[in-house]
Amino acid sequence: MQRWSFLLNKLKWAVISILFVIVLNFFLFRILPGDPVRAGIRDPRLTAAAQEALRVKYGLDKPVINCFETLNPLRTGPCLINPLETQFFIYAGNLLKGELGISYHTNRPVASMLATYLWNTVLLIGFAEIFSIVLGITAGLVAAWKSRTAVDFGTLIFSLVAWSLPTFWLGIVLLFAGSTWLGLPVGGKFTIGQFYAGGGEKFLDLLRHLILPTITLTVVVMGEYMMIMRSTVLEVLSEDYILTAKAKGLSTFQILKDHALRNAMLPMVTIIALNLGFTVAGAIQIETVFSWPGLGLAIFEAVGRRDYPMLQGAFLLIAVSVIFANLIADLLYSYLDPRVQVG
Amino acid sequence: MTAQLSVNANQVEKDYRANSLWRMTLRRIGKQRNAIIGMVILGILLLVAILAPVLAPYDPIEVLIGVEDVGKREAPCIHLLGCPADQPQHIMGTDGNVRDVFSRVIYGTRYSLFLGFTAIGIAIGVGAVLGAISGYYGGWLDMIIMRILDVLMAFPSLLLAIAIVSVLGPGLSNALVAIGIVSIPVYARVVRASVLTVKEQEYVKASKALGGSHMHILIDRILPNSVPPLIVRGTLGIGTAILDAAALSFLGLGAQPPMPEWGTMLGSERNQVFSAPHLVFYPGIAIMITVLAFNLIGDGLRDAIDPRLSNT
Repeated sequence: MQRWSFLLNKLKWAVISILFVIVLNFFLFRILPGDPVRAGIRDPRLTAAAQEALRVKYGLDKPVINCFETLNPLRTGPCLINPLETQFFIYAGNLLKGELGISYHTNRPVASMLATYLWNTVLLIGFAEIFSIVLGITAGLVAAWKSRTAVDFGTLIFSLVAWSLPTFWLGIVLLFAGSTWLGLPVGGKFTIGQFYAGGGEKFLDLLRHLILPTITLTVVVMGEYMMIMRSTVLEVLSEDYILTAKAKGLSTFQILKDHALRNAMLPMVTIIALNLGFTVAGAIQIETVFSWPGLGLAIFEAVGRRDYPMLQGAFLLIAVSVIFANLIADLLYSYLDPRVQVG
Repeated sequence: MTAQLSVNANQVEKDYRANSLWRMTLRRIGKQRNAIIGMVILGILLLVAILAPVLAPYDPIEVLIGVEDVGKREAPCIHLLGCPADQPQHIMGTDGNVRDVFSRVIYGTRYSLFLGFTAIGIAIGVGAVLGAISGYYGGWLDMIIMRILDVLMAFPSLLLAIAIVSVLGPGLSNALVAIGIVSIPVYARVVRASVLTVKEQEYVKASKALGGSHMHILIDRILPNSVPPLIVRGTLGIGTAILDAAALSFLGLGAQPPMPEWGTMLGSERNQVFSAPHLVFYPGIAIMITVLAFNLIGDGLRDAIDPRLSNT
């Protein structure tokens, strides 16, 4: 019973957070100075009539919200109008239908554009997360077990340096090294103009393009996992039950696997889920360096083109993902450690 | 016997002073090798920043065409390492606009340190006020403030900074403001947490009973408790702020050329990595060393200030 009310409470706050995000996201991009049509399309030859047509097309002819025509320049308007005729509620209504507006740049629906970009980012983040979880946890475990030895010291140095590396710089350096010495592709998702004999060959080409971005993201992300795993395992190893396990004559491997790893995984699960935001930020930089056609590159290009519907959609998508990741972290934690619900 | 047992008031005073929280913390910091190394690096960086005009052989934005016989993106030329003496010395080579990269890297220290300290200073200032109000008064005010900060935290910091800069327009000061805003929630939470833990302590109640005003209780009795965690978080935060600022500049949203900012230098020469790798290599190393210094200090301070951790 207690568990359900705990879960419901968490879910309630997640929903409220998402509503906040929607509002923030909408108004943030409406505070922008200037006329989006003129700024976004930047074609001086456009006649006034054509500009007006574009404004109607993107819904910019309507007031932003009751009492306000536009936010920048701040222009007040009639308050007693049907709220459903204002930009905000039209946006909200479209969101309910799963529509995120039309991109100023490509004229295509933002939702379908984001879907393709999202898949590429998930691919990159997914691979990098798997590698960094496995490598980070193993290295952290070994470092804690071999505490105060060269192995431990090396792990610590590696994680501190990895933590301090500018992601985009590591990407460029690996790009240089990988393409010069290993002949790996310099960017993109597939080799341009390549003819593939079959699906397998195409898949291999995709993997070749994924190697360098994945290594970059893995190095950046795994440093933190290593450090947290190491300190958690150190704490666990000082517990009495580890002494008992040793006294029982269990092997080192058994102690580490059944006692240390299990108990140390508890905080790790939350860290990994909470880390999603950080991973996405890393992905933005890596995607720009490697021209990987994911959300990060899309955001970078949309900023340059002032494609606000696209930015709005991408930010909403990422914020909602992070909120869900946090929710999942809470749920997992309460499942793994029943004490949490009481507290 | 009685002489030995009698308490020497002076001695007690001395022991008390020697074992005060700050002294003990300082002593523990002295034992943290990481923190010491970090502080030495930071000290050197601060010196480099202050002495930049003395250390830099060239003006960081001076274009050397017509001044010297050098071309653009020339490889490093160091006289000690066998570069002919009749050629002008450029320890880190020249960039695409024929400027001395070494001088630019030296001046870049100023921008990164300034950005890191100011952005986190803003964040701590605003965050501390919000966190203190939130924790001290509680109720609906607490709920609204924390909810808004939670929403800010739902955005990855770099992403939110990109959003804010795209609203404010690119530039060094806007990047600074953006990174400051993005960092607020962390410090608000730290202050709120420590306010909540000491709010109900006896000495705070005593202060209230003595008729202390809210301001007096908050500033003199409660907030000093949040200083140690703020220092630790702040030091680590400066590292992250410098990284984020460099990333913003790299993406063309932060400092604008010809400013000798490390991220900007990297961003403008990134496509030349194959023909002139030195242009990408040095600014990146500079960023890494600076961030590493703050991370080492922060890591060591955390262990020194939180005695629970130092036992393990």
